[in-house]
Amino acid sequence: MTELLFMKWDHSTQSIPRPPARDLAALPRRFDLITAEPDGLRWGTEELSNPRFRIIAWPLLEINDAREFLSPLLPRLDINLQAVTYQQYRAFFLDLSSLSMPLALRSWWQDDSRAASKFSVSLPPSTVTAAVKRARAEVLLA
Amino acid sequence: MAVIVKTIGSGAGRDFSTLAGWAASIPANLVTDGNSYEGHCYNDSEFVGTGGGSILTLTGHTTDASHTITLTTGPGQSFRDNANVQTNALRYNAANGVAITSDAGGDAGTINIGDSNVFLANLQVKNTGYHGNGIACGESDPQIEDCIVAGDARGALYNTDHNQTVRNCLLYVLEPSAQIIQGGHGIANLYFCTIVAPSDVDAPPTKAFNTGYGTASVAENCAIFGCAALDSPASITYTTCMTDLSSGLPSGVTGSKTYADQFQNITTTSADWREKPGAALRGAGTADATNGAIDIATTARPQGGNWDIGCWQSIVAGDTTLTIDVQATVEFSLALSGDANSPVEALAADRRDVQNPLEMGLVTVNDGACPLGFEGGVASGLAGNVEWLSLGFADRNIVSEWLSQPSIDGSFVGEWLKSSLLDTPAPGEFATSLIGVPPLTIEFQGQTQLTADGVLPIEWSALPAIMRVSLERLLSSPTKRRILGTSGRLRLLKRQ
Repeated sequence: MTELLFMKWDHSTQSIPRPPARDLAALPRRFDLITAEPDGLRWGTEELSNPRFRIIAWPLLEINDAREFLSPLLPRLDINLQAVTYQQYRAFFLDLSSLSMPLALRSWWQDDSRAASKFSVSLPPSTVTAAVKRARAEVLLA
Repeated sequence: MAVIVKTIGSGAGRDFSTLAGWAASIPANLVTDGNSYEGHCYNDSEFVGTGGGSILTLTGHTTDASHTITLTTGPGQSFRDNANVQTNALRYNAANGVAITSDAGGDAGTINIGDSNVFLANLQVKNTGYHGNGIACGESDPQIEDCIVAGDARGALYNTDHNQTVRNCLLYVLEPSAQIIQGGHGIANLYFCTIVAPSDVDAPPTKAFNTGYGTASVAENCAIFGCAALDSPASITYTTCMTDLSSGLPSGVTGSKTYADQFQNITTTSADWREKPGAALRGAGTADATNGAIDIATTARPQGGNWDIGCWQSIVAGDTTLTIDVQATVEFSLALSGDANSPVEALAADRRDVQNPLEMGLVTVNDGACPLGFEGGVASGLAGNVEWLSLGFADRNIVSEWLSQPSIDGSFVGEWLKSSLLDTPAPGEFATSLIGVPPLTIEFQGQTQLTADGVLPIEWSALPAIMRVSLERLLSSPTKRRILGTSGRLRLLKRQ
């Protein structure tokens, strides 16, 4: 019984000027989970309509199971405990554009008009995460 | 440049229900975007983050001094806007206004700020995470004003920077901790902050301030209590700060003050870090209108000339003004202010009696001279911080038994106040004006003629109930006829 707010906006291609690597790492990226909320939350008008976002209602998903998608990717440290990679907004994401996902979901994801403000997913969470869970690649410090 | 304001809350019609959603909506580069962004939180419900992460992260944005990010409260939504702000216990309490809490652990902080030019104001922030902290500052320079921040074992503020400024904030910890403020690149510059640990935490914070880099910063008018030590390394320049610590204190810090005497309650569950009447903090601060013109409860500083140390400014109760024309026409203005915890008797310590029955000990002006300028035998003098006005009158139409001499002629002031307040409404003889609501300041102004027996006809029924109660108290001790027979319960200031 969880609803998920995802980032649709891609700062690396849509923000002008393109943010530097450090900022790109810190900002939410496309497919990043911004927040997971219990079913029934009254979303704000921007969350429901802004083309930067998407909301997926996922009744079979327990909110605790969404937590792993909210954790940042921490920087890798060298032997002197100095960071050699950037910390990133999230360590994992769901590739909702994957062909493994239902066509209806992929079509809804592409619709920036947000005619349907939410999309309801009925798939078992384990099936989805097994198919489209991805890890963010480390980004070396510039 | 525009300011893009968005509302945040769980109520109907808000722009965002979540702080994270609002943050994700902000463009990457505010400078090229050309705008500043403000989030206005609404107290529709407590903002609660679970799962061990920050509820709000602001990182990756390009800002400058003209293109900023601000998180504050909507109109009337802050604990500072609460109608009972003067009497509410000063601690994190979601019932009082916008409140943000999370169980973010470690370095994360309930709010995590890595961006520059970020401003936080009017918020309550709490952290309950494992070794968590209230606001993680990411060695950036967020400006934090008028906030209550309750942290866990990593402190209230974490990873601060010497360029950061924190004003009028209550900063405290809920668990044993290494510090209340941890500095990444020095400690933030602190003005009028109350920085405390409850007296009943299992162990006091090792230090109030702890930083790996001793970059210079400032602590001014800060109350620092409940810690085992002050700072490390010693990189802070202190000005009129106060603590319960007693040894090894740097210049600018007054020590050995009893913790329990300074605040209403210093235990975790009942904490109330409003200043206690009689606290040494009162009036011990340095004037600084730039950083402290308004306290955490929206009280203007100074009060009666007092600049209190810490985020709380005590209201000077009983600012009562009185103008007396010795030609028997009395032009007066009376004002009392106070609240349930500090009614008029809070002035008791300020008053001293004058024994000469022909002198009228009217005024305590705290620090300043009182430019009365009466004619007809007026004198004034200073006794410490207390100024007394002495009036003598040839015709005795107005004389002064305000003080303590029951043997004085019945036309004396004590008598006429007693009579008029209790008995003698005289409609139309003076005008009244009521200013404010509780905690209130009540001011009566008017002009009237003394009656033949020297009675000033103040209409008792016109007095608000709270003032009647206060005056009844005054009148009841030691005798009803001596308004000021009970030390210092009424303050009279000259009104020009």
